[in-house]
Amino acid sequence: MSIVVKNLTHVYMPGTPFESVALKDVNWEIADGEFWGLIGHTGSGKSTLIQHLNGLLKPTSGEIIVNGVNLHSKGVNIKSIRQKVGLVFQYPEHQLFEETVEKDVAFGPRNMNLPEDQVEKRVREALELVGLNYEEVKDKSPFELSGGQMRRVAIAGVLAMNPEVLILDEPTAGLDPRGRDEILDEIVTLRKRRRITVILVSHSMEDIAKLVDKIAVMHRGKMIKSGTPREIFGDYKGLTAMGLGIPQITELMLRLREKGKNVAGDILTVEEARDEILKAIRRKGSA
Amino acid sequence: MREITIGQYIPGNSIIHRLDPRTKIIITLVYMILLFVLDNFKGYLFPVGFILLASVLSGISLRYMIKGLRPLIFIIALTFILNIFMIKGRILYEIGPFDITYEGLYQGSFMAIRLVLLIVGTSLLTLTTSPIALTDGIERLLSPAKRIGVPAHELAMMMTIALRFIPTLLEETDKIMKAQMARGADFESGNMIRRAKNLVPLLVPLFISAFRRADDLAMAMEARCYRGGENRTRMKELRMSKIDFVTYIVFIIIVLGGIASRFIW
Repeated sequence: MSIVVKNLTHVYMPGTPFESVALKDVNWEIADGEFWGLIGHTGSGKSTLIQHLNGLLKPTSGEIIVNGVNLHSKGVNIKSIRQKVGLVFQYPEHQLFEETVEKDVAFGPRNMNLPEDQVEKRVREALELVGLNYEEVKDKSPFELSGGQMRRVAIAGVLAMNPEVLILDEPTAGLDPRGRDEILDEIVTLRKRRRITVILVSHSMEDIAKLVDKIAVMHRGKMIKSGTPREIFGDYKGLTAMGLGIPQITELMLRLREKGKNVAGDILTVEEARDEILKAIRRKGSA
Repeated sequence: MREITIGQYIPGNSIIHRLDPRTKIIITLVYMILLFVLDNFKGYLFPVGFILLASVLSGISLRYMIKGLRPLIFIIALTFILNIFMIKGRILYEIGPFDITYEGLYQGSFMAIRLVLLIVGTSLLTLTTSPIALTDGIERLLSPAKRIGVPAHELAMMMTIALRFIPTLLEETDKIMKAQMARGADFESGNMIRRAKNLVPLLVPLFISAFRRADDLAMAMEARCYRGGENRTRMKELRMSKIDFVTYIVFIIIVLGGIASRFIW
């Protein structure tokens, strides 16, 4: 499923003393099946932007075109768009409300008026996708689960609608390292299994570098640039000036380069760095 | 959700903003009484003039204040309509069993204007006074009553906290609403019962988060050794200045003018 954002501008509370421009002329093209990372410091407009992608916010000007359909033209069924473009908010566990995990995850599918046997199938699938045992958790109250489990139930609640695009706003915020890795692994498996488009909003440059194909950078309501992780993280100075950073391992390799070591500067993961350093040592040994 | 302007503070540095909160509270109270004392349209020239003057001085556009009336339009309209039909007198027009009377029309529009002035006047207080200043003022005004056991400080603290959390809770409501809408929830259509039922996915998380916040706040206050008003000093002492006295004089003239209008017209 493709999404095209054209000249999107959004102004909060126009005409009041609290007027603020959250997005300025944003252009963005997301092709089917891509894995995007969206970065930017707090208040740069990331959340506002992603809420436009499933029609939760209406643009002040500009267009959002999902699979060739302009979201705000007449006769568009916004509910069906929201089902296709799943949005997982920050701290999604705060939206849980039902008595049992099963009922909560079923909320989305039930709103789609699916038959009961379909609903059950989807709930089972969704819970298993996020690594929870359906039989074990279905009758528990979501509030007696651990923080990480609650978050997974909440993500399952969105997955149960079988979205073709999944947007996650900081899905790992406030989780311990293990919980974080598990959630990220599940996103990767999910993408492989269902071939969906994923947009990941994150402050962790490591996670972004490890996972995504393309990165978009937001700064003060504008999309400053977009490109592959190597292109984006190549600009160390530009990113730090915006209050962002680069993955620690990339920084380490850049510093080594500055010290005159013969290593590449566009390293993104620890594994790549290991290989690169070993290569450099061997080169030195043979020279 | 974000359209609610009543109770919202707009930061500024106008004369009205700089007035002592006690002055503004007292004047607002007397102003409200005045609105009920006045009994004819001409008398309302005084409060209307007062509001215009104050809003010009405060630098807050009248349009913005009138926007704040929007959520209350239903109550104002209801008052107007009930008065038109319920008051007996010279009949102007008949609709079936109901009569529109001259007196009803007069009384209805009078009541509507009274309500509008009441709302605009009181929102002027909250628009120009920060919640902190407001509760400070209330605490000071209530402090003489401490002697007879009124917990002035605790009351003020409760109000401060309540006011401080209004925007937070609105934001939270907005967020949860959107999250549920992303899962296909519908808050806008259906009949009354259906709509009330649809609010459950919003209200449960909202209550949970309100309790969580209350718990966190209590903990944070205790961690900083908060234990009520005893012996607390404040960073900013309230002090009446020259503008306050001028304001009182102007206001007293307006009140006297208004009261005099009852007898003259």
